Amino acid sequence: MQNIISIANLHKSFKNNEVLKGINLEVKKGEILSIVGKSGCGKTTLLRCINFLEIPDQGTINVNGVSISTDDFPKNYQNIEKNKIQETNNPFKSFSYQNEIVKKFKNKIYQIRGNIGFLFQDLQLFPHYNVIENVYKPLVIIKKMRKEEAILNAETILLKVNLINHRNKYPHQLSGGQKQRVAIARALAMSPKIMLYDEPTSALDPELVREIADMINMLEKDEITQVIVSHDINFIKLIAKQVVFIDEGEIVEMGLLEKLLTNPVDQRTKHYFDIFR
Amino acid sequence: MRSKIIFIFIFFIAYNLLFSQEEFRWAADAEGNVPYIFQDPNNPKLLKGFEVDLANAIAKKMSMKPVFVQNQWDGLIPGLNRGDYDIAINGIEITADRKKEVLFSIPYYYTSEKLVVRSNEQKINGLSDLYGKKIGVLKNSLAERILNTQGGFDVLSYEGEVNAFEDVKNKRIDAALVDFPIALYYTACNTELKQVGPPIGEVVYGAAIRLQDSSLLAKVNNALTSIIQSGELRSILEKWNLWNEVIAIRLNDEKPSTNLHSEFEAYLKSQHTGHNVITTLERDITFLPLFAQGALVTLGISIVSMIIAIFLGLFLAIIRIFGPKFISLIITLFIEIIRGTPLLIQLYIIFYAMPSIGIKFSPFLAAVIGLGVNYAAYEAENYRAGLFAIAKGQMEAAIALGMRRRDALIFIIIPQAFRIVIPPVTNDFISLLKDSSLVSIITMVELTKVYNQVATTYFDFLGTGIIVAAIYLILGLPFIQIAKYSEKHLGLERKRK
Repeated sequence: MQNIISIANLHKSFKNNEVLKGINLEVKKGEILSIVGKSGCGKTTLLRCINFLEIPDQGTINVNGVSISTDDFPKNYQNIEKNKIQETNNPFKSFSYQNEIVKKFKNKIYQIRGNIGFLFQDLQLFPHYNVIENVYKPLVIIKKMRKEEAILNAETILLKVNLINHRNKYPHQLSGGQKQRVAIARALAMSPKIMLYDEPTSALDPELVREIADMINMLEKDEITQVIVSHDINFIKLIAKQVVFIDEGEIVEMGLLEKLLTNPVDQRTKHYFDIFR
Repeated sequence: MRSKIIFIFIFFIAYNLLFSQEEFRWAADAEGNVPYIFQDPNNPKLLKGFEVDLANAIAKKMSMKPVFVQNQWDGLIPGLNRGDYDIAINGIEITADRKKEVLFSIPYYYTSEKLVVRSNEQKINGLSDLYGKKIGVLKNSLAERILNTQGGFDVLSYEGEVNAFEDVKNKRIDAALVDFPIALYYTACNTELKQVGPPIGEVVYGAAIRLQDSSLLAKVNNALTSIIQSGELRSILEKWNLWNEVIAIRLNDEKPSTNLHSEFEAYLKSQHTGHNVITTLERDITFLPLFAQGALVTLGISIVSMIIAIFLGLFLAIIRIFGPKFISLIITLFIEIIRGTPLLIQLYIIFYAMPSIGIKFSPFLAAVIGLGVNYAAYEAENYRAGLFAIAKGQMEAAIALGMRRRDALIFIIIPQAFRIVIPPVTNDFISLLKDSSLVSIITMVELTKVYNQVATTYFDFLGTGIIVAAIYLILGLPFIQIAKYSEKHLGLERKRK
């Protein structure tokens, strides 16, 4: 199987704190890959670099054949742009979308983001839209779809995630699990090839963890590549075969979950998985 | 039919061209200014006072049409130099300092300062009994200068004599030293106060005219001279019981006084009738049309200012957030300066200082610009806070879906920011409504100014005060409702969990 995501020598630091120290990672098409590690190990930053919510300091990222390398960045970028971003507290200026690099590689970045659905830890549903609007409005705004067509699409997806009865409710009227499914539906509506999940179970009651796991397993059948960042090993057990363990900005070990659990090569991996055995 | 209308129209224009009189635009402050100029107790829409009679007499002699312009007493000379009117007649003392700023007519009144104390006060019979004690004076008056030159007194300066008298009554101060006409009228209709001691110093009133208007000065002086010689000035002053020994000597007119003080007695009568609750209430009701006029001005100023504030604020916020660093810095500085300085000072600068660099606004325009710009700075910060609060996670969510920055702003950020800024913006409108009372200092006769005028003329701060407070409350009510509604309905979907 071919690789849909390849990451080579990825470095990223915030101020003087190097969060990613040369990550090399390949994700195969249709695969479910889990990234685990202690909090602060850099797993979320890695995920955010894949769709350029964070701009890497160094490295090459290739998503579905679209490749962006820091070698093509202006030479003084690291000195100038990074300082500027971190100085201002204006969210409209500090966001990666307004950054010089994003401007320069605009087309490529939009292409990459168009292939990726991203599930935020805090979901970030649009609170001024109801459920159906949350799902169909982006289709109208981004894909310039006709409203009727977009609603039809949205209804199909809401049916799939079992939310069609709640189509006219606003996010604040939904339970945690329902919100999660709206967020997934919103991402799926854009028909992404890849789904990235940032700590999808962190806000869920234990009985809902299985529900989201079922959803992820269902999407595997649709050949959607899925990368899940989590520290919830019980959840990982339900979904993943391939697991990457990251510690202090480096990939320590990767392989099948059973192998990392029962027969880890590295001491750090052993130590981390000890508590789950 | 049509030709008839045209004929009438032409006739009307021709009539106006041939017979129209030039305007004699004179200014004074009709607030707490008995017997100079005040609202007629029997008809609050009419102005009375010996200076009103004098101004009308001068205008008549000059064959001009008198037009009265209300202006804060402190601002009479700045207003003159702004060109809001051509002459100020309002108990303005002729002093060397003022002569540097304006031309003065020949004097139209001479008098002295008099001490006013509580009626039951036995120990104070002159200035010498007041060493170390508190004396109230009108600010920038001869009384203030006399006391400060002599020294040894605790001098408190007041914006208006009425406030000084109230403080004497309430024992906050021991005496007030004021111009004789004021002492005469207020003690005559106020049993709690009395005049004591001999006349102190000499006060000379003249009409103030712009320095460059020497031709008007000559005409006014001619008119005044003829009014003095014909005895018209004397009869006006007699009517108001203001003819005194000093002026008799100065004007060389020592005929015995007639004792016909019609206006003085009419005023006393108006003050002594009706002091029970019912008659006070009846009288207060007659003020309602006056208050309604003031309320209309207040509402007009507030609405226009708020419209300016909402749109200018949006403009400032957008430039501050999205503009280049340098321009954004300038806007930030501008906002901080506006927010960090008193509105009162901003109004003074716009109204009185700007004309000196060639920018002259009408009082209404100055008021709405002052209030509008001031509140725009606050609104800009409201918008910025609203946009920032929404932007943090929602912007990322939108762009992660593949939205362009502009679309995310239009469809995701702004609609939500709009909802969260409505309550603070409506609240600001309510406080703007109340802040609009400040524009009375730039000669706008709005609700608070009307209240001051009426209250100081009738010594009724309580009754009229309650009426005016109620009017402000009623004016603000619809906006409180809007704030409540928007919080309840538009804010609904933002409630979390």
